[in-house]
Amino acid sequence: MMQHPISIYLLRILPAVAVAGVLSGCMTTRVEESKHASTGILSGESVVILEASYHAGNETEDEFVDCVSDTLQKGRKGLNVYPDDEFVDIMFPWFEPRTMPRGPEALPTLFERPGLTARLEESGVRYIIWLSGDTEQSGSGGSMSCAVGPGGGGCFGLAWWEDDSSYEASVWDVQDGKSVGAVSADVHGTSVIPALIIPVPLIARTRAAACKGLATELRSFIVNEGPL
Amino acid sequence: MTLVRPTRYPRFRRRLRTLTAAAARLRALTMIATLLLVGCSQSVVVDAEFPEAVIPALPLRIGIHYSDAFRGYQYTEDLPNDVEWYFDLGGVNTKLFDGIFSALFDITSVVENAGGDGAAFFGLDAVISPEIEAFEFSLPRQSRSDQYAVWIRYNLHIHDPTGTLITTWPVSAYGQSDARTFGASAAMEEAIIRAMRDAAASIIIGFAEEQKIREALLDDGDS
Repeated sequence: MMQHPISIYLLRILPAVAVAGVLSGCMTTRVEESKHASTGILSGESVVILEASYHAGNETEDEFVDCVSDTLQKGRKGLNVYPDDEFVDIMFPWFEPRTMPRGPEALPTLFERPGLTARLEESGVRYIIWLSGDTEQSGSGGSMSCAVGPGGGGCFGLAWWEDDSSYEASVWDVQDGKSVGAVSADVHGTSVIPALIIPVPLIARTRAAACKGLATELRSFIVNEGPL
Repeated sequence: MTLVRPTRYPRFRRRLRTLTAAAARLRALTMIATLLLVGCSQSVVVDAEFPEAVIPALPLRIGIHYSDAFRGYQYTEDLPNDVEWYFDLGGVNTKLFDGIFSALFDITSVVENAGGDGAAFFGLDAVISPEIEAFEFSLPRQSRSDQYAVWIRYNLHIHDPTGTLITTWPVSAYGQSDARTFGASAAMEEAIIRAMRDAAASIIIGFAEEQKIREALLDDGDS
Protein backbone atom coordinates (compact mmCIF):
# COMPACT_ATOMS: atom_id res chain seq x y z
CA MET A 1 0.00 0.00 0.00
CA MET A 2 1.36 3.39 -0.96
CA GLN A 3 1.76 5.94 1.82
CA HIS A 4 0.28 9.40 1.30
CA PRO A 5 3.07 12.02 0.63
CA ILE A 6 1.77 14.21 3.51
CA SER A 7 2.06 11.29 5.92
CA ILE A 8 5.67 10.76 4.86
CA TYR A 9 6.35 14.45 5.33
CA LEU A 10 4.75 14.40 8.81
CA LEU A 11 6.75 11.34 9.80
CA ARG A 12 9.91 13.12 8.74
CA ILE A 13 9.30 16.35 10.62
CA LEU A 14 7.71 14.77 13.73
CA PRO A 15 11.03 13.88 15.44
CA ALA A 16 12.36 17.39 14.73
CA VAL A 17 9.21 18.97 16.20
CA ALA A 18 9.40 16.68 19.22
CA VAL A 19 13.07 17.51 19.84
CA ALA A 20 12.40 21.26 19.42
CA GLY A 21 9.49 21.03 21.85
CA VAL A 22 11.54 19.16 24.42
CA LEU A 23 14.60 21.40 24.04
CA SER A 24 12.80 24.73 24.41
CA GLY A 25 12.14 26.28 27.79
CA CYS A 26 8.81 27.25 29.28
CA MET A 27 7.27 30.52 28.02
CA THR A 28 4.13 32.57 28.48
CA THR A 29 3.24 35.08 25.78
CA ARG A 30 0.81 38.01 25.87
CA VAL A 31 0.16 40.04 22.73
CA GLU A 32 -2.25 42.97 22.87
CA GLU A 33 -3.32 45.71 20.52
CA SER A 34 -5.17 48.95 20.95
CA LYS A 35 -6.52 50.61 17.85
CA HIS A 36 -8.07 54.05 17.75
CA ALA A 37 -8.30 54.74 14.02
CA SER A 38 -9.02 52.63 10.98
CA THR A 39 -6.08 51.25 9.02
CA GLY A 40 -5.41 49.66 5.64
CA ILE A 41 -2.57 49.66 3.15
CA LEU A 42 -2.48 49.80 -0.66
CA SER A 43 -0.21 47.63 -2.77
CA GLY A 44 2.24 50.44 -3.57
CA GLU A 45 2.49 51.59 0.02
CA SER A 46 4.97 50.44 2.62
CA VAL A 47 5.81 50.64 6.30
CA VAL A 48 9.08 51.57 7.96
CA ILE A 49 10.17 50.19 11.32
CA LEU A 50 12.27 52.49 13.46
CA GLU A 51 13.53 52.08 16.99
CA ALA A 52 12.56 54.76 19.49
CA SER A 53 15.40 57.09 20.43
CA TYR A 54 18.15 55.99 22.80
CA HIS A 55 18.28 59.62 23.89
CA ALA A 56 14.95 58.87 25.58
CA GLY A 57 16.43 55.82 27.30
CA ASN A 58 15.17 53.21 24.85
CA GLU A 59 17.41 50.15 24.41
CA THR A 60 15.65 48.14 21.69
CA GLU A 61 18.16 45.76 20.16
CA ASP A 62 19.06 46.24 16.47
CA GLU A 63 18.53 42.53 15.86
CA PHE A 64 14.96 42.76 17.21
CA VAL A 65 14.16 45.53 14.71
CA ASP A 66 15.64 43.37 11.93
CA CYS A 67 13.64 40.36 13.13
CA VAL A 68 10.30 42.23 13.13
CA SER A 69 11.12 43.74 9.74
CA ASP A 70 11.97 40.33 8.23
CA THR A 71 8.93 38.60 9.75
CA LEU A 72 6.56 41.35 8.65
CA GLN A 73 7.55 41.08 4.99
CA LYS A 74 7.75 37.28 4.91
CA GLY A 75 5.18 35.15 3.09
CA ARG A 76 2.47 35.79 0.54
CA LYS A 77 0.65 38.24 2.83
CA GLY A 78 3.86 40.06 3.72
CA LEU A 79 3.92 43.86 3.85
CA ASN A 80 6.33 46.08 1.95
CA VAL A 81 8.91 47.16 4.53
CA TYR A 82 11.08 50.14 3.63
CA PRO A 83 14.66 49.66 4.92
CA ASP A 84 15.02 51.66 8.17
CA ASP A 85 18.61 52.84 7.52
CA GLU A 86 17.65 54.06 4.06
CA PHE A 87 14.62 55.93 5.40
CA VAL A 88 16.70 57.68 8.08
CA ASP A 89 19.27 58.60 5.40
CA ILE A 90 16.77 60.08 2.93
CA MET A 91 15.21 62.11 5.77
CA PHE A 92 18.57 63.22 7.23
CA PRO A 93 18.83 64.87 9.74
CA TRP A 94 15.18 64.77 10.82
CA PHE A 95 14.95 61.15 11.99
CA GLU A 96 18.22 60.94 13.95
CA PRO A 97 17.90 59.78 17.60
CA ARG A 98 18.20 63.40 18.79
CA THR A 99 15.87 64.98 16.23
CA MET A 100 13.22 62.33 15.50
CA PRO A 101 9.60 63.36 16.17
CA ARG A 102 8.58 62.47 19.71
CA GLY A 103 4.87 62.23 18.93
CA PRO A 104 2.56 62.01 15.90
CA GLU A 105 1.46 65.61 16.52
CA ALA A 106 4.94 66.68 15.32
CA LEU A 107 4.48 65.07 11.88
CA PRO A 108 2.47 67.80 10.09
CA THR A 109 4.98 70.51 11.09
CA LEU A 110 7.89 68.25 10.20
CA PHE A 111 6.60 67.47 6.72
CA GLU A 112 6.01 71.15 6.02
CA ARG A 113 9.80 71.50 5.80
CA PRO A 114 11.03 71.86 2.23
CA GLY A 115 11.92 68.63 0.51
CA LEU A 116 10.66 66.20 3.15
CA THR A 117 7.20 65.53 1.71
CA ALA A 118 8.69 64.79 -1.72
CA ARG A 119 11.10 62.28 -0.18
CA LEU A 120 8.31 60.67 1.83
CA GLU A 121 6.13 60.29 -1.26
CA GLU A 122 9.07 58.83 -3.18
CA SER A 123 9.59 56.22 -0.46
CA GLY A 124 5.94 55.16 -0.47
CA VAL A 125 5.96 54.93 3.32
CA ARG A 126 2.43 55.09 4.74
CA TYR A 127 3.03 53.94 8.31
CA ILE A 128 5.93 54.53 10.69
CA ILE A 129 6.18 51.79 13.30
CA TRP A 130 8.17 52.84 16.38
CA LEU A 131 9.61 49.97 18.37
CA SER A 132 10.51 50.31 22.02
CA GLY A 133 11.35 47.88 24.81
CA ASP A 134 13.98 45.23 25.34
CA THR A 135 14.79 41.82 26.79
CA GLU A 136 16.12 41.58 30.32
CA GLN A 137 17.10 38.75 32.59
CA SER A 138 14.83 38.89 35.61
CA GLY A 139 16.28 36.14 37.75
CA SER A 140 18.61 33.16 37.86
CA GLY A 141 19.57 30.35 40.20
CA GLY A 142 20.67 26.77 40.65
CA SER A 143 24.18 25.41 40.38
CA MET A 144 26.10 23.13 38.12
CA SER A 145 29.58 21.71 38.38
CA CYS A 146 31.61 20.01 35.72
CA ALA A 147 34.76 17.89 36.05
CA VAL A 148 37.19 16.27 33.66
CA GLY A 149 39.43 13.32 34.58
CA PRO A 150 41.56 10.73 32.80
CA GLY A 151 38.54 8.47 32.36
CA GLY A 152 36.30 11.21 30.95
CA GLY A 153 34.23 14.10 32.19
CA GLY A 154 30.75 15.23 32.96
CA CYS A 155 28.51 17.80 34.62
CA PHE A 156 26.02 17.53 37.44
CA GLY A 157 23.41 19.98 38.68
CA LEU A 158 20.72 22.33 37.47
CA ALA A 159 20.96 25.99 36.40
CA TRP A 160 18.04 28.20 35.43
CA TRP A 161 17.32 31.81 34.54
CA GLU A 162 14.29 33.88 33.57
CA ASP A 163 14.02 36.33 30.68
CA ASP A 164 11.40 39.01 30.15
CA SER A 165 10.94 40.36 26.65
CA SER A 166 8.66 43.36 26.62
CA TYR A 167 8.18 45.37 23.42
CA GLU A 168 5.70 47.88 22.07
CA ALA A 169 5.09 49.01 18.51
CA SER A 170 3.37 52.38 18.09
CA VAL A 171 1.91 52.87 14.64
CA TRP A 172 1.68 56.32 13.05
CA ASP A 173 -0.18 57.00 9.84
CA VAL A 174 2.00 59.59 8.09
CA GLN A 175 -0.71 60.32 5.52
CA ASP A 176 -3.12 61.50 8.20
CA GLY A 177 -0.38 62.61 10.61
CA LYS A 178 -1.77 60.75 13.59
CA SER A 179 -1.28 57.69 15.75
CA VAL A 180 -3.53 54.77 14.84
CA GLY A 181 -2.71 52.58 17.81
CA ALA A 182 -0.17 50.22 19.28
CA VAL A 183 0.65 46.55 19.58
CA SER A 184 2.55 45.13 22.52
CA ALA A 185 4.15 41.75 23.18
CA ASP A 186 5.26 40.50 26.58
CA VAL A 187 6.98 37.15 26.81
CA HIS A 188 8.21 35.61 30.04
CA GLY A 189 10.36 32.52 29.79
CA THR A 190 12.39 30.24 32.01
CA SER A 191 15.45 28.53 30.61
CA VAL A 192 16.83 25.45 32.36
CA ILE A 193 20.01 23.44 31.96
CA PRO A 194 19.73 20.12 33.80
CA ALA A 195 22.95 18.11 33.74
CA LEU A 196 23.45 14.46 34.56
CA ILE A 197 26.85 13.87 32.94
CA ILE A 198 25.68 15.68 29.78
CA PRO A 199 24.07 19.17 30.15
CA VAL A 200 20.80 19.49 28.22
CA PRO A 201 20.01 23.18 27.59
CA LEU A 202 16.26 23.96 27.45
CA ILE A 203 16.37 27.56 26.27
CA ALA A 204 13.34 29.86 26.30
CA ARG A 205 13.82 32.14 23.30
CA THR A 206 11.67 34.97 24.57
CA ARG A 207 12.96 37.63 22.16
CA ALA A 208 12.25 35.44 19.12
CA ALA A 209 8.77 34.67 20.47
CA ALA A 210 8.10 38.37 21.10
CA CYS A 211 9.28 39.19 17.58
CA LYS A 212 7.01 36.60 15.99
CA GLY A 213 3.99 37.56 18.13
CA LEU A 214 4.45 41.27 17.55
CA ALA A 215 5.03 40.97 13.79
CA THR A 216 2.03 38.68 13.27
CA GLU A 217 -0.26 41.00 15.21
CA LEU A 218 1.18 44.09 13.49
CA ARG A 219 0.46 42.63 10.07
CA SER A 220 -3.24 42.09 10.81
CA PHE A 221 -3.38 45.45 12.63
CA ILE A 222 -2.21 47.32 9.53
CA VAL A 223 -3.86 45.25 6.80
CA ASN A 224 -7.32 44.97 8.34
CA GLU A 225 -9.35 48.06 7.70
CA GLY A 226 -11.20 48.83 10.93
CA PRO A 227 -12.59 47.79 13.35
CA LEU A 228 -11.64 50.37 15.89
CA MET B 1 80.37 22.79 -14.37
CA THR B 2 80.48 22.72 -10.56
CA LEU B 3 79.00 19.80 -8.73
CA VAL B 4 78.47 19.34 -4.99
CA ARG B 5 81.01 16.81 -3.87
CA PRO B 6 79.40 13.68 -2.39
CA THR B 7 81.54 13.93 0.77
CA ARG B 8 80.29 17.49 1.55
CA TYR B 9 76.66 16.86 0.67
CA PRO B 10 75.49 15.60 4.15
CA ARG B 11 77.04 18.69 5.83
CA PHE B 12 75.20 20.93 3.34
CA ARG B 13 71.93 19.19 4.13
CA ARG B 14 72.54 19.56 7.89
CA ARG B 15 73.24 23.30 7.43
CA LEU B 16 70.13 23.65 5.28
CA ARG B 17 68.06 21.91 7.96
CA THR B 18 69.50 24.26 10.64
CA LEU B 19 68.73 27.31 8.50
CA THR B 20 65.19 26.07 7.78
CA ALA B 21 64.56 25.42 11.49
CA ALA B 22 65.89 28.90 12.38
CA ALA B 23 63.64 30.49 9.75
CA ALA B 24 60.65 28.55 11.08
CA ARG B 25 61.46 29.66 14.65
CA LEU B 26 61.75 33.28 13.44
CA ARG B 27 58.43 33.01 11.62
CA ALA B 28 56.77 31.55 14.75
CA LEU B 29 58.23 34.31 16.94
CA THR B 30 57.06 36.97 14.49
CA MET B 31 53.57 35.44 14.47
CA ILE B 32 53.44 35.29 18.28
CA ALA B 33 54.67 38.91 18.53
CA THR B 34 52.05 40.01 15.98
CA LEU B 35 49.31 38.12 17.84
CA LEU B 36 50.38 39.68 21.13
CA LEU B 37 50.41 43.16 19.62
CA VAL B 38 47.01 42.64 17.99
CA GLY B 39 45.67 41.10 21.18
CA CYS B 40 46.81 44.11 23.26
CA SER B 41 45.18 46.85 21.21
CA GLN B 42 41.99 47.64 19.37
CA SER B 43 42.37 49.88 16.37
CA VAL B 44 39.37 51.79 15.03
CA VAL B 45 40.00 53.72 11.82
CA VAL B 46 36.66 55.33 11.11
CA ASP B 47 35.39 55.60 7.58
CA ALA B 48 31.85 56.44 6.60
CA GLU B 49 29.64 58.09 4.02
CA PHE B 50 27.16 60.62 5.37
CA PRO B 51 23.80 61.31 3.75
CA GLU B 52 22.93 64.58 2.08
CA ALA B 53 20.88 66.78 4.41
CA VAL B 54 17.34 67.77 3.44
CA ILE B 55 17.53 71.45 4.35
CA PRO B 56 17.46 74.72 2.43
CA ALA B 57 20.90 76.36 2.38
CA LEU B 58 21.44 79.59 4.30
CA PRO B 59 22.40 82.54 2.05
CA LEU B 60 25.95 82.73 3.39
CA ARG B 61 29.42 82.52 1.86
CA ILE B 62 31.52 80.59 4.36
CA GLY B 63 35.23 79.82 4.47
CA ILE B 64 36.15 76.53 6.17
CA HIS B 65 39.44 76.08 7.91
CA TYR B 66 40.55 72.61 8.98
CA SER B 67 43.54 72.67 11.31
CA ASP B 68 46.20 69.97 11.00
CA ALA B 69 45.12 68.62 14.40
CA PHE B 70 41.55 68.29 13.14
CA ARG B 71 42.54 66.74 9.81
CA GLY B 72 44.67 64.12 11.54
CA TYR B 73 42.75 63.59 14.76
CA GLN B 74 43.83 60.48 16.62
CA TYR B 75 43.07 59.34 20.14
CA THR B 76 44.59 56.58 22.22
CA GLU B 77 43.51 55.36 25.62
CA ASP B 78 44.99 52.49 27.56
CA LEU B 79 42.20 51.23 29.79
CA PRO B 80 43.09 49.52 33.07
CA ASN B 81 42.42 45.77 32.88
CA ASP B 82 41.66 46.10 29.20
CA VAL B 83 43.36 46.58 25.87
CA GLU B 84 44.64 49.85 24.46
CA TRP B 85 42.14 51.55 22.18
CA TYR B 86 43.37 53.58 19.21
CA PHE B 87 41.06 55.79 17.16
CA ASP B 88 41.70 57.58 13.88
CA LEU B 89 39.00 60.11 13.01
CA GLY B 90 41.05 62.42 10.80
CA GLY B 91 39.79 61.53 7.34
CA VAL B 92 36.17 61.06 8.34
CA ASN B 93 36.10 64.39 10.23
CA THR B 94 36.71 66.46 7.12
CA LYS B 95 34.29 64.31 5.13
CA LEU B 96 31.57 64.94 7.74
CA PHE B 97 32.10 68.70 7.92
CA ASP B 98 32.41 69.10 4.14
CA GLY B 99 28.95 67.53 3.93
CA ILE B 100 27.49 69.62 6.77
CA PHE B 101 28.75 72.94 5.43
CA SER B 102 27.93 72.33 1.79
CA ALA B 103 24.32 71.51 2.80
CA LEU B 104 24.05 74.38 5.24
CA PHE B 105 25.50 77.27 3.22
CA ASP B 106 25.08 78.63 -0.29
CA ILE B 107 28.81 78.88 -0.97
CA THR B 108 31.72 77.27 0.85
CA SER B 109 35.44 77.31 0.24
CA VAL B 110 38.40 75.91 2.16
CA VAL B 111 40.78 78.57 3.52
CA GLU B 112 44.30 78.09 4.85
CA ASN B 113 43.87 79.93 8.16
CA ALA B 114 41.01 80.88 10.39
CA GLY B 115 42.08 84.43 11.10
CA GLY B 116 44.90 86.07 12.97
CA ASP B 117 47.06 89.06 12.05
CA GLY B 118 46.32 90.57 8.70
CA ALA B 119 43.67 88.01 7.85
CA ALA B 120 41.02 89.40 5.57
CA PHE B 121 38.55 87.14 3.87
CA PHE B 122 37.15 89.22 1.05
CA GLY B 123 33.91 87.90 -0.34
CA LEU B 124 33.20 85.71 2.67
CA ASP B 125 30.65 86.29 5.43
CA ALA B 126 32.55 84.22 7.97
CA VAL B 127 35.17 81.53 8.47
CA ILE B 128 34.38 78.43 10.52
CA SER B 129 37.09 76.32 12.06
CA PRO B 130 35.94 73.09 13.75
CA GLU B 131 37.95 71.27 16.40
CA ILE B 132 37.47 68.24 18.61
CA GLU B 133 37.73 69.37 22.21
CA ALA B 134 37.05 66.02 23.82
CA PHE B 135 36.53 62.40 22.88
CA GLU B 136 35.30 59.80 25.35
CA PHE B 137 34.01 56.28 25.10
CA SER B 138 32.69 53.51 27.30
CA LEU B 139 32.65 49.75 26.93
CA PRO B 140 29.73 47.44 27.78
CA ARG B 141 31.48 46.13 30.89
CA GLN B 142 31.98 49.70 32.16
CA SER B 143 28.38 50.77 31.63
CA ARG B 144 27.00 47.30 32.55
CA SER B 145 24.90 47.36 29.42
CA ASP B 146 25.14 45.88 25.93
CA GLN B 147 26.24 49.18 24.43
CA TYR B 148 29.46 50.73 23.22
CA ALA B 149 29.03 54.47 23.73
CA VAL B 150 30.92 57.49 22.39
CA TRP B 151 30.81 61.17 23.31
CA ILE B 152 32.44 63.79 21.10
CA ARG B 153 32.57 67.47 21.94
CA TYR B 154 33.21 69.67 18.93
CA ASN B 155 33.95 73.39 19.06
CA LEU B 156 33.06 75.52 16.08
CA HIS B 157 35.17 78.69 16.07
CA ILE B 158 33.43 81.32 13.96
CA HIS B 159 35.42 84.31 12.74
CA ASP B 160 34.26 87.42 10.90
CA PRO B 161 35.92 88.40 7.58
CA THR B 162 38.63 90.36 9.41
CA GLY B 163 39.62 87.30 11.40
CA THR B 164 38.03 88.41 14.68
CA LEU B 165 36.41 85.62 16.65
CA ILE B 166 32.62 86.03 16.70
CA THR B 167 31.91 83.05 18.90
CA THR B 168 32.90 79.53 19.77
CA TRP B 169 29.93 77.21 19.56
CA PRO B 170 30.29 73.96 21.52
CA VAL B 171 28.42 70.98 20.08
CA SER B 172 28.13 67.80 22.12
CA ALA B 173 27.34 64.55 20.36
CA TYR B 174 26.53 61.05 21.53
CA GLY B 175 26.30 57.71 19.79
CA GLN B 176 25.82 54.14 20.96
CA SER B 177 25.91 50.79 19.29
CA ASP B 178 24.72 47.33 20.23
CA ALA B 179 27.56 45.01 21.23
CA ARG B 180 25.43 41.97 20.30
CA THR B 181 25.04 42.98 16.67
CA PHE B 182 28.64 43.93 15.84
CA GLY B 183 32.12 42.87 16.97
CA ALA B 184 34.03 45.13 19.41
CA SER B 185 35.83 47.31 16.83
CA ALA B 186 32.86 47.42 14.46
CA ALA B 187 30.48 48.31 17.31
CA MET B 188 32.80 51.10 18.47
CA GLU B 189 33.12 52.43 14.90
CA GLU B 190 29.33 52.38 14.54
CA ALA B 191 28.96 54.28 17.85
CA ILE B 192 31.45 56.91 16.57
CA ILE B 193 29.60 57.27 13.26
CA ARG B 194 26.31 57.70 15.14
CA ALA B 195 27.91 60.34 17.36
CA MET B 196 29.19 62.16 14.27
CA ARG B 197 25.72 62.05 12.69
CA ASP B 198 24.36 63.38 15.97
CA ALA B 199 26.82 66.28 15.78
CA ALA B 200 25.85 66.92 12.16
CA ALA B 201 22.14 66.97 13.07
CA SER B 202 22.76 69.42 15.91
CA ILE B 203 24.82 71.74 13.71
CA ILE B 204 22.49 71.64 10.70
CA ILE B 205 19.34 72.25 12.73
CA GLY B 206 20.85 74.50 15.41
CA PHE B 207 23.16 76.81 13.43
CA ALA B 208 20.56 79.42 12.54
CA GLU B 209 19.08 79.21 16.05
CA GLU B 210 22.33 79.99 17.86
CA GLN B 211 21.91 83.50 19.21
CA LYS B 212 25.40 84.96 18.59
CA ILE B 213 25.59 83.42 15.14
CA ARG B 214 22.14 84.69 14.23
CA GLU B 215 22.96 88.20 15.45
CA ALA B 216 26.27 88.35 13.60
CA LEU B 217 25.39 86.62 10.34
CA LEU B 218 21.66 86.36 9.83
CA ASP B 219 19.91 89.29 11.52
CA ASP B 220 21.72 92.02 9.59
CA GLY B 221 19.68 91.77 6.45
CA ASP B 222 21.82 89.10 4.80
CA SER B 223 19.22 86.41 5.33
